[in-house]
Amino acid sequence: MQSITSSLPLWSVLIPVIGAIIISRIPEKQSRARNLTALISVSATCVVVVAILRHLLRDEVVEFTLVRFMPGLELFFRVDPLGIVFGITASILWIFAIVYSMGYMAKQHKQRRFFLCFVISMSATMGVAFAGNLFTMYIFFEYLTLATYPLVIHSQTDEATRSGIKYIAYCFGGGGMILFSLIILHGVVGHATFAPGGILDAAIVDHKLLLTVVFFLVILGFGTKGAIMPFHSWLPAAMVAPAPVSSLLHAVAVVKSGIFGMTRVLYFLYGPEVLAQINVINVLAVMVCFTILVGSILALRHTVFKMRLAYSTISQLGYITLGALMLTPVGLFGGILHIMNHAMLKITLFFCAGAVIKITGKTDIRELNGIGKRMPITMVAFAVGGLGLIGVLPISGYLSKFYLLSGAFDADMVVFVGVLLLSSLLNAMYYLPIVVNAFFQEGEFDKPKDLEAPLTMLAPIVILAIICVGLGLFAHKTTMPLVENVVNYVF
Amino acid sequence: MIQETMESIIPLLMIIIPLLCGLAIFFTGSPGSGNNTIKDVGQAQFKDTTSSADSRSVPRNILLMISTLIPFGMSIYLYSFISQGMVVVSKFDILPPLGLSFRVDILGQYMSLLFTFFGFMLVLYSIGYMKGDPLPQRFFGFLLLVYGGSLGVILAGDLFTLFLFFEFMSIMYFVLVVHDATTEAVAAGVKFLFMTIIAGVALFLAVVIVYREAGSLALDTPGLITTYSNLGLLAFIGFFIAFGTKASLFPLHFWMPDAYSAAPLPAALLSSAIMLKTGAYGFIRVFYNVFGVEFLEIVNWDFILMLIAAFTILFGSTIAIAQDDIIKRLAYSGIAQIGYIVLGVALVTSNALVGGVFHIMAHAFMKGCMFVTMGAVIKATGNRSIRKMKGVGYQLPISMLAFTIAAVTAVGIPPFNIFLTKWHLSLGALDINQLWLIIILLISSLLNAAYYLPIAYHAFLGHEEGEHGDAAHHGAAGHHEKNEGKGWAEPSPAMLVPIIVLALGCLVFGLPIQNWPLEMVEAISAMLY
Repeated sequence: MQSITSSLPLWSVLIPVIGAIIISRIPEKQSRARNLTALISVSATCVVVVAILRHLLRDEVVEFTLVRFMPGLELFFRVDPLGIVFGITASILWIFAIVYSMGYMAKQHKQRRFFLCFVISMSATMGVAFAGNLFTMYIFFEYLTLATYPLVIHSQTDEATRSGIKYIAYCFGGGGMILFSLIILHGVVGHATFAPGGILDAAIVDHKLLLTVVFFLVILGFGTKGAIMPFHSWLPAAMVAPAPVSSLLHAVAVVKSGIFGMTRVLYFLYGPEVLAQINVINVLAVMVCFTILVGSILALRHTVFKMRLAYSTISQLGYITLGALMLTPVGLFGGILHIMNHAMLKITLFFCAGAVIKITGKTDIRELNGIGKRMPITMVAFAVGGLGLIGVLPISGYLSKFYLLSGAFDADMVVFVGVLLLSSLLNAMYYLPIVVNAFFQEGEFDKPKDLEAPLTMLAPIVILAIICVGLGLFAHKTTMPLVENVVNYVF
Repeated sequence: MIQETMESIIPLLMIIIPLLCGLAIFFTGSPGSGNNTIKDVGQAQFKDTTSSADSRSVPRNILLMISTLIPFGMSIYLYSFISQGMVVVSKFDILPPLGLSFRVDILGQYMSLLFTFFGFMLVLYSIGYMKGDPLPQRFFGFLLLVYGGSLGVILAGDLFTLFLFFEFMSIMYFVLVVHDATTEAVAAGVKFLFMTIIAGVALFLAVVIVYREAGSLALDTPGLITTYSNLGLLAFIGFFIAFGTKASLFPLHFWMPDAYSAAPLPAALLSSAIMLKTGAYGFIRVFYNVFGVEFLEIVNWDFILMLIAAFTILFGSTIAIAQDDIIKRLAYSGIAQIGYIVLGVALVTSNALVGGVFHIMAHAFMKGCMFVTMGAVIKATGNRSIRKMKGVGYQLPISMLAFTIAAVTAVGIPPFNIFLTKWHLSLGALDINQLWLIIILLISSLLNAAYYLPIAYHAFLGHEEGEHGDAAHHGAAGHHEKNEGKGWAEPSPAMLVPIIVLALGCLVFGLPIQNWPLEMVEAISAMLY
């Protein structure tokens, strides 16, 4: 792959900031102008990302150095096949989330702050996706925490404040570990630029113990954001945020940036060969398997709608990490594919949950018997998302599972197979009853007189549900080539 | 043997047409301007069903006819090619990683003829039976989706396509089970749904392993897996769980009696005549295309399946005797009958396979006939208890005559079709020197006689116990109560035609000179050996 220099990555980070500045100038009452600005800035960013994608599809890696503080320490963007997978997924979903927010946030307080932060956190996410070295990634990682904090405490209740503190503490704690690792890596190698296959091949000979410790620090630093147990508890707490935040940031952008960072560390800093030498994968694999199963079991126990989805997210993020940990091409393929598939499926589920909460005001699953009569389209979309995560064909989730299972066999880790299958069953146990009770239980809900939810909420739900099926049927024309590029690039 | 192949889009059309019609039916609306809630089910059934001026039922019935008759016609059309030894294939570039592919050989053709024919009978019968249902568009819509899915299973050209339709069919069937939305129905439905998910996960695992071991999933070779490995055994277990659940073999059967008794009767018929058979079909494909006969002879996994099948036969029959609810008795008897089919596959001899595959058809006619006649009885009297069915033959002479034919068929005496099943199964058992299986078959025949013949006998010769008024409590068609049980209560032609046709089927495909299902089955056996 050849590199070209282009300022496109910078624009993808700058445009949302410009949009946010404009939003901050628009008075609180002019919601139409604000919505439009938000939509335009997010769409423009998405266009930029698509332009970068076109370079990537021509086998070109896009690079851009913004500032060089000292040798090896620079703000440096480098969009490789892995970065673009995360970037394109997040930026497309941002458009859906903005449209959905227009409906969800209507008539709520402090909309200006909400949209401002919502747009600006896109800038941070793009920065994480396109960062070319650990330093840049760390900067944007912390920036993302700051940008999303006002969204978590949006309701400004006591509970929200408490959750906000937890959120900040966990994320900055993780950030601190990354910073520490960054310093040591700089000391040992002199730089921390991401390169496929790793940069530590030479250094590992002399600093084996140190680099093993650093590995755990940096992985757990990112893992905190990726909600690996036992560092997950900020995520359920953050469910106090409005539904668009939960759906986009806490099912896609923030948590996936953690997972994405882990993948960067595994394949672009350490590399499979070094990892085989320092023998740390097994410890991590046990943690991830634990996360998958316990996350699922906790999801079963929670009856608050968004909490159940949050624990399901924790468990599903484990799938992605597991795929990356297999250190085989097929396993990585499954994991990266699941970044996209899980993003689409989980955001659909969260949007549905948000719509139900917004329309009925009920947050507990047990109160939602018969909701299928009031909100049939929403609940059908929910069924699509749930079945997709269970792995039913032809909804996209089956494909990631197919590759994850194959990868587990390739890596001779039959335990993973058991974990994945058991987790599928648990997925079924916590999603299907919601759908069944929605349609086949008596409830207090009546047929809607008008549209079941505002169009700005219903349209994203329906389109996303269709995309989920489409990504299953036509994955070989859409998601799979992107992921294939990643695997070819890394191995 | 290299077979001539023919590219054709027809297999896809056979599946797509029912699916699209099923979707279209959702938009035909429900009677009574859509204000019915689920609570109204009972009241709706008490309405005078004859005058239900439901203008929307006409387009719905047309859609139902189209979606079953056209695939039936296509299946007959394909037969003209396949009978000459051709194989119809088609492949579509969707659904990665392997693509969607269809492949119709003589086995798939035999199944598709059977399924499309029974699909038509089922639709005809359901139109009569479901009259007055508050949500017909949902019932018929999902009925067609299940039907289309089941066609997809048997026409699939690779395991992945098969898996797709297998899951689809099963999940859609869930809606039929819970159609009445009673507590019992939802409980049965959830049980069914979880068995489906477990089966789906098991099948998924098996498919992944086969793909990994063999690098292909196409069902056109006599054995994808040819070397022993632990993973291969795991795949075999996965297939067993998946198809065994669907076919309701012994340890995996427990969803079925509950689902049958909770679902509307046509849904039970659909499962018995069509959906269950996809499980049996899956076993055939696993034995002959995935693992291969020679391989199985070496590793002997088939022996375990044979024991399970034999036990299932005895188990189902024994439990069936104790059931008083006619639907439950039919369900447990169905478990025993599916044991015959799986036994035919698991014996891995040419003769036994003929018996097993022939039984797919024979059982569909026999059990189908029992379901439709008992549906007529339940609809007319509202009674599902066998003890209270004495003298019902005076009310429904044609139906009960048909039931009698089916009952005698089930026992397996010539000239009825199940005799041929048992004959070939016995030959197969002799081929591999397992004489005890013949004794099991004989015991099963006796048990069949013990639980079916008394129903027929009491229907015509028994005396009523003067409690016919109970009918009203059961909800369905309570106005027959006034007839004192002596009046003519045969159902409408839409229901009567399937009853008669299925009863004739039991007889016609027994021992005539030109028995073309048997010829097809022999061709299938010749192809697989």
